[in-house]
Amino acid sequence: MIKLKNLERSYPLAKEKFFYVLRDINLEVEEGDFVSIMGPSGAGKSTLLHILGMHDHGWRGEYFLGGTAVHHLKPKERATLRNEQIGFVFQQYHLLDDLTVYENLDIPLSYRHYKKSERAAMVADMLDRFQIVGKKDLYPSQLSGGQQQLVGVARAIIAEPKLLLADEPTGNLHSSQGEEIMELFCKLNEQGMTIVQVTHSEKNASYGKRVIQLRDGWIVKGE
Amino acid sequence: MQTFLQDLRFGFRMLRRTPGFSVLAILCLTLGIGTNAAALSWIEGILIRPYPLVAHQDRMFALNCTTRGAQGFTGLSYPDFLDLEKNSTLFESFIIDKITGTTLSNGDRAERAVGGMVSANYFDALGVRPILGRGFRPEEGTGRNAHPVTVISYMTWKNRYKGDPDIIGKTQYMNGVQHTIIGVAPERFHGTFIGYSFNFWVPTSMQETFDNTGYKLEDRGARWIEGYAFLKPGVTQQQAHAELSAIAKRMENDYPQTDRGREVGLLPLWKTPFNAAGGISTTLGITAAVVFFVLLIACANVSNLLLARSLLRRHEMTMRLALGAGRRRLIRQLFTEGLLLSMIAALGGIAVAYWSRNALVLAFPPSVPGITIDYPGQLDWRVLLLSVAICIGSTMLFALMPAIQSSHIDLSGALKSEGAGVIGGHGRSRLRSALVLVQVSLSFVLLAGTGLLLQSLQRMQNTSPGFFTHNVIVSVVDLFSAGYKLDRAKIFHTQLLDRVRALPGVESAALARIIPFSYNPPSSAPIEIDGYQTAPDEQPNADYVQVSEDYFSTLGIPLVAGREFTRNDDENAPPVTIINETMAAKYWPGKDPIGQRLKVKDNWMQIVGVAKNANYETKLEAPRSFFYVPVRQNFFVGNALLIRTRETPGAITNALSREVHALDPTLAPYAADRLQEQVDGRGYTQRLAVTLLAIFGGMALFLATIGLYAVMSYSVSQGTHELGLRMALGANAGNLLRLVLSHGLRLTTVGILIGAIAAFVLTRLMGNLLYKVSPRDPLAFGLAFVVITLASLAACFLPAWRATRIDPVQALREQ
Ligand SMILES: Nc1ncnc2c1ncn2[C@@H]1O[C@H](COP(=O)(O)OP(=O)(O)OP(=O)(O)O)[C@@H](O)[C@H]1O
Ligand SMILES: [Mg+2]
Repeated sequence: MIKLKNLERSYPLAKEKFFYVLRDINLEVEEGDFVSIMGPSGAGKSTLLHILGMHDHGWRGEYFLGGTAVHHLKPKERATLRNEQIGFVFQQYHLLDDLTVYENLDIPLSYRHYKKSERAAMVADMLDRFQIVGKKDLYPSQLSGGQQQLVGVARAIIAEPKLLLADEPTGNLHSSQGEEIMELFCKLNEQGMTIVQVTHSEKNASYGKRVIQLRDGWIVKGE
Repeated sequence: MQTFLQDLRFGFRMLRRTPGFSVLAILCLTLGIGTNAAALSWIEGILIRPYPLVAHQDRMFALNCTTRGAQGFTGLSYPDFLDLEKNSTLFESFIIDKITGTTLSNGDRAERAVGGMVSANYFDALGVRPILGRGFRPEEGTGRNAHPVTVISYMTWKNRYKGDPDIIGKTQYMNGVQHTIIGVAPERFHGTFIGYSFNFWVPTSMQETFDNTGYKLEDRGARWIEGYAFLKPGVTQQQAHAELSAIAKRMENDYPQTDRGREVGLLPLWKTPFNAAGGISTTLGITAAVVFFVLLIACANVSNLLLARSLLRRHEMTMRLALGAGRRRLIRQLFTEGLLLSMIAALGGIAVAYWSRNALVLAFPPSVPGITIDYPGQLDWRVLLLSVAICIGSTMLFALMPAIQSSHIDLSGALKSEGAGVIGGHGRSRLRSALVLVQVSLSFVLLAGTGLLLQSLQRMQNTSPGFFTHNVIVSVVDLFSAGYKLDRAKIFHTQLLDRVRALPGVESAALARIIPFSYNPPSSAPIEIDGYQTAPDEQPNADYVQVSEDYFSTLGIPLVAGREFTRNDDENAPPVTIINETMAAKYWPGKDPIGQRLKVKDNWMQIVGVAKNANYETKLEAPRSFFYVPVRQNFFVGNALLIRTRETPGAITNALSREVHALDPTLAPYAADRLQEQVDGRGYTQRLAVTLLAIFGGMALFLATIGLYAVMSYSVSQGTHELGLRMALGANAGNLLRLVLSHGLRLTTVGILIGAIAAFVLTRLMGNLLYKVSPRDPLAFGLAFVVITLASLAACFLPAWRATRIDPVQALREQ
């Protein structure tokens, strides 16, 4: 599903000097895999995830997604590919405060080619699947952290992506809430979704199938 | 006081710390306060206190003489004037000030001069003392042509006489009579006629010399006097008015022949019916409203800027509150800072006003040599006081809301959430949106108004006045000023007309006592009609003009019945007249007026023709009864030449000069002009209104656009996180562009809606400036809609484009 070859990411420091956040990353993730990326703070985990999620385009190297050479795609084509294939879960949930649960779920659909009626059906279906029908008219501030992240996950998968990326999805949650999310991920993975998550906790990593250790921009284990 | 100074010092520091904000805010306010101060100075200087050297202008009123049941001002006769003066008790004085003109030769060139025929008490009643010599003595007002004395203006003294210190006692040749210069008026005294700066004054005794329609001082039927009255201190306008009405009633009984239906009243100076006040007061009223709108928009802008800045100063405010400052204290501090802004702006604004106080004159056509158009603004203490009030008032407007908002920081929450999701968000941003709404709607009103005026100006220019204007050239040989008597003038004009008709390129030529659309009104007279039953109180009246043969063909006024005057309609032939359609319809409804009779001044005339209606003085005038009489049966010394030709005015002037010179080497004609210029000249109030509204409307639009831009860029910068997130969730550039633009356009649309409703109500007040345009004209409203939509698209586009450039990783990281 994912194949990275000699991928690197750097930020300009001063004149002609660069700060390398990721170096010579080579990585393969099979379809149906559940990978956890671990490593100390500042190792470049989020950076890697944003590159995979095609939010960041300032990298060099090769990135194949399901056989497509992303590094050869134009920004517009990348956006299309991303919208078709990838869902993203954030540590801080990043729900829009002024929109209800229902409307938050509708956002990704509104940016893809769905008809109005289809969208309503998909949102209703998702509310149902996550058992949050009763909360659909509430605003994010009226939900607990766990509930908010539940909505965050629902929003990430509502457009039926093949690949789910999650950057410390349980980082802001109590352990019991975290477990709930992890079990949800397992279930999604069983249904065939490829998952790449960033986590600091061994326990969360244990839900996955394998672990990749990142340190100072290098993959030190699990290539 | 101590704390005020402290706040002021701190305010200064804050202004210096955010120079961009300060400059923008002060600029907006300077525009707002400056335009208001300028408009106030115009209203003060032109309408409220137009005569700066006159002591008690608050007790000075224009004498308004009217005919019962008829529109418009008619003059007062000299005997009536004397009766008013004699029989009234509530008045300090009455003065006559009748505008007149003459031609002054200045070496080899002829120059026009405007002056006043004034009652002998003129300078004393006004409290104006000549700087050299004296004013008129009481006896100089009476005696037919007995006192050829004149007071000249400061400008005339300086320019024409090079400031000659021994000018008193020297003579000036005017209208064939040697006048002794007895005084020089002060520099700031320009007479008492709004619109013109007078060059000289002569006493009423010289009326016949300066009026080419004859001697009138003993004729109760001749209404020519324009004048003013000063009330005694403590007398109200109502009381004075009542006394005048009573006297007029008595005169009506005593002299029914001449005074039936005559009424005399008082009007405040700004409504003076016989000078430019009436024309310009609506324009200035609208200008005042418009600049007030500009001020509101400017205030909304500054309010917006302050709100944006208050977010940056949240920390400071939180600290102050935490350290125990009361909300009231906080509001006062912010208010002081606002006051500081507007005080600086007020200084700038007053400078702007001072600099533009005489700017109105620029909208008028370049004047004839010798004549000075005069529309002076006046920056006196009243205007300054009002400007300061405006400054404080606008501070209230723009500073108070942000101050109250800022002081309402929730201390416990202040450090927690820093308010995300501003696109379509809450509280503060809603207030800012409301301000933009106000700006957009005010701009809409102004633009719609400008559109209406532009359209009516265009219609006015495109509407025919009922006669040819482009290939008709007018010129005047001022025989009256040259001292010609009637017989000589008659011969001269007859010969000149023959010579002009023989000039190559001249298709036809005619004489007329006055040119259509000139500042000289047509004659007006009571009429009597065979077989027409008058109502008990009615005195039929009609305007008329003396014209020669070929007048109608030269001007292209069609005759709907009968014939034109011929050369044979002279003093030896029976009196004839041509009436217009309105008159025919009024007095001979359903009948053929040809062959019917009309009596004017004991003189029965037979109607030989009916002419199509034309405009006589302005295009705005209502159709009225009008008739023409042959100039050869009613000759006057002064006549104008109307020449139908394809030649240029320059060529005609040269040819005409030669012909005039051949007839009398001492004479020269005025430079010839197309009749079109004459017609355009009467449309200048409209043009002035359009110019002012376009300038201020443009300003308003500019300010509103800036305001919208500021709000949009602010909300985009506040919404960076949300926009980045949306991008991460799959939004492309188009989605974000649409999101921001639609937010901006939603504001604009609501603003336009409110503006359209307001404009519906307000444009009706422009009534008498509009010409053949409905105050709800869809084109003007549509145009305003398009312009504002385009402007707001432009204002929103840059922020929207910036939104698409947001780096989602960065935006999400910053949270
Ligand atoms: N825009 C940027 N400019 C310069 N350096 C950056 C930028 N963005 C990230 N970095 C640096 O890249 C490195 C990796 O950051 P990243 O967010 O990927 O770390 P992380 O592994 O996710 O850490 P954490 O566990 O704390 O989330 C950090 O040292 C960070 O300072
Ligand atoms: Mg991270």
